Amino acid sequence: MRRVCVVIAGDETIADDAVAAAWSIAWRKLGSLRDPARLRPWLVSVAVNEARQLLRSRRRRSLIEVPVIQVGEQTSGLDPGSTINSIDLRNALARLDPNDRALLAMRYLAGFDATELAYATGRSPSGMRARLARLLRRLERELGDA
Amino acid sequence: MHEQSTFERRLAAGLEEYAGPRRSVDAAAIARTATSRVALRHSIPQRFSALVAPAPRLEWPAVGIMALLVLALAVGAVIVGSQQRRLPAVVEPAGNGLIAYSSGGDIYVGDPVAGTTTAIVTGPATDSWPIFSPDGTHIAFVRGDPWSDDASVVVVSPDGSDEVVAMPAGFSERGIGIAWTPDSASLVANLDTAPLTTPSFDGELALLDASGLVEPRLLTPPLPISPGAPYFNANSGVAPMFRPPNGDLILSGDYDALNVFDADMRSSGQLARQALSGFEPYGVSTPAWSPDGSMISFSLHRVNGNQWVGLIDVFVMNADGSSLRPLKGDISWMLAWSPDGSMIAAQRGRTDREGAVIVVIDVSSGVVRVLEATSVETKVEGDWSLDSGGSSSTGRKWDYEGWSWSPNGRSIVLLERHGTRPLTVDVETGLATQLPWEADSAPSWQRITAR
Repeated sequence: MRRVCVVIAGDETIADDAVAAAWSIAWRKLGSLRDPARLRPWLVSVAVNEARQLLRSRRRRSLIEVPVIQVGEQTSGLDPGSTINSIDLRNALARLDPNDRALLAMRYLAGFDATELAYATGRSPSGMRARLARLLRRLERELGDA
Repeated sequence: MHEQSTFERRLAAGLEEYAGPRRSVDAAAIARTATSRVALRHSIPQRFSALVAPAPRLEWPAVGIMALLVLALAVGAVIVGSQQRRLPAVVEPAGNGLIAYSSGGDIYVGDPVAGTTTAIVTGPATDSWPIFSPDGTHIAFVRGDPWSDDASVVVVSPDGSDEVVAMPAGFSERGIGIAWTPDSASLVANLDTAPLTTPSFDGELALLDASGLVEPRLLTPPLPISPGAPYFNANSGVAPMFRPPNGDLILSGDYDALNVFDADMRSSGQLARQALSGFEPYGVSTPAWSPDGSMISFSLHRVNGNQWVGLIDVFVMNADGSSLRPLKGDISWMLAWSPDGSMIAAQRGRTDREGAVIVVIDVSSGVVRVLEATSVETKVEGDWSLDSGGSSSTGRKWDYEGWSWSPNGRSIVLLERHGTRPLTVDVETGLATQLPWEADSAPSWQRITAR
C-alpha cells in the first residue's frame, strides 16, 4: 500500500500520511466491505484515493509535486538491461497525472488484474485495459530506449 | 491480463526499485474482521467519484436552506414560465437570436443583424467557449485555461448578470469540454484524460447543475469510459447523447456496443447488436439522438485489440435499432443533426491538401451537398504527434475552431481560426457571409421564438 502511494505521490511523507489515513478509514468502514475477497483492492484503492487527495491539496498550496531529477543526480541502479534508468523513470512518472501513476502502481506493484483495477476505480475492465495499453505505449516511447 | 512484455517487466522492476522496500501486512487477519460488520455506506465507485469531485460536502442545515431555495426557485419558475411565450423544445427549429463568443479572454454577445456587439463578462479572468442554453436564457463558459485543472464552468444570463459557478476549478484534472443537456437544467462536462487532442474529449463525464446549487457528479461510472471514444465533439452545444427533450435516455458508446442508460443511470441494454455483429471487432463513439429523438447516429470504428485503427462509417438508424444504414458521405465523426432532423452536417477531409470542408447530408435520400465556402486548411500549433491509439502531443492540430447549425436550420456558422471573423454559410445557396467581429471561440447562436 505504501509503495503504491510512493509512486503516486513521489514523496514518502505523503505516502506515509496516505497510508495512515487509509488505515484509519479502513478501520471505521471495514464493515461496509461486502466481499472480503475484495479486501486487498479495496484497501489499496482507499490508500490511492488518500494519496491523490493529499497530493492535490498540497499541490494547491504549492508545496510539492513529484520532483523531476536533472541528469547528474543518478541514484543507485540495477542491471541496466533488466530495469529502466531510475532517473528516466522518475521523470516519466512526474510527467504523468496522478491517476495514471495510480494505475501503474496498482498494476505493477500491487499486481492487480483488469478486474481488480476496474473494481478499485469503478470503471470497466475493458476501459482499464485500454487506458493501461495507451499508458504503456506512451511510456515505452519515452523509456523504451533508455 | 496478458503475459507481460519485456518492457512491462523492465517497468515493473523499475517501479519496484522506485517504491522502496516491501513491508508485510497480515491481510488475512483483516479479512476475518471484515466479516463481522454489516452496514454498507459507500461502494468503491461512489467513494472514488467523491474524491474525484472535491467540492465541499453540504452540511445538513445548508442542505435544508438549499432545499427551500430550490423549492422557491421551482415555484418562481412555474409562475414566470406560465406568463412567457415558450420556446419550442429542442426538437424543432427556432428563430435566430444573438451569437455568443469569446475574444481576448472576455465573453461577448453579438447581434448578427445589427452588427453590434456587447461585452457581457469582462475582468482579469480568462473566459472562453461560451455556449447558449437550448432555451436561450443562459450562457455557460469556461473560466481559466480549458486545457488545465484550473478550469471552472460558469453560467450567466445573456446580459452577463447572475453569475453562477456550475463547476469549481480543480474538478477536472486536465481539460474540459462542455455542452448543455436538452432541458437546459444541466451541463455535461467531458473531462479530458488525454492532453490537447483534436476537438474531442474521451475522458470522464460529469453532470453539472446549471444553477450551481448541487455539486457536480460523475456519470462515468456507471457510463463506461472508453479511451479513444469521445462522447461528443466540440461542436455540440447540446450533449447529443441525452435524448431530447428531457434527457430520459442516454446513449453510450463502448468498445463493442452501443449502450442505452435510463435517467437513473441503469443500463437499459444494447442497440443494434445483431445488425453490427458483422463489423466485429468494432468500437462506437459520438452517439447522438436526432432532435426529435426518433433516430440515432453514431460512428463505428475498427479496433485492433484496444486500439482504434480507423473509422468504418457513420451510421444512422431508428431509435429502436432498426433500419441501420451507413451515411456513406466519406465524412468524419464530427457531425451534427440539423434542428429539424432532416439533415446531418459533417466534416469531410479535403483530397487536394490537408484540410476539411463541411458537407450536408439529407438523411432520407442520402444526397450529399458540399459547402465549398466552408473549406479550410489544417492548422498545427505546438508539438503535435499522433500515435495509433490516441494523442500524446503537447500541441494542437485542428481544422475549425468550431461550427454549428443556426437555430432556424438554414445556415452553418463557423470560426476557422481564433482571432478571425466568423462565417455564416447558407445551406441552400452555399453563399457565405462574414460576421462583423473577430472571435476566439466558436460562435454559439441563441435560440429564440420563431418570428
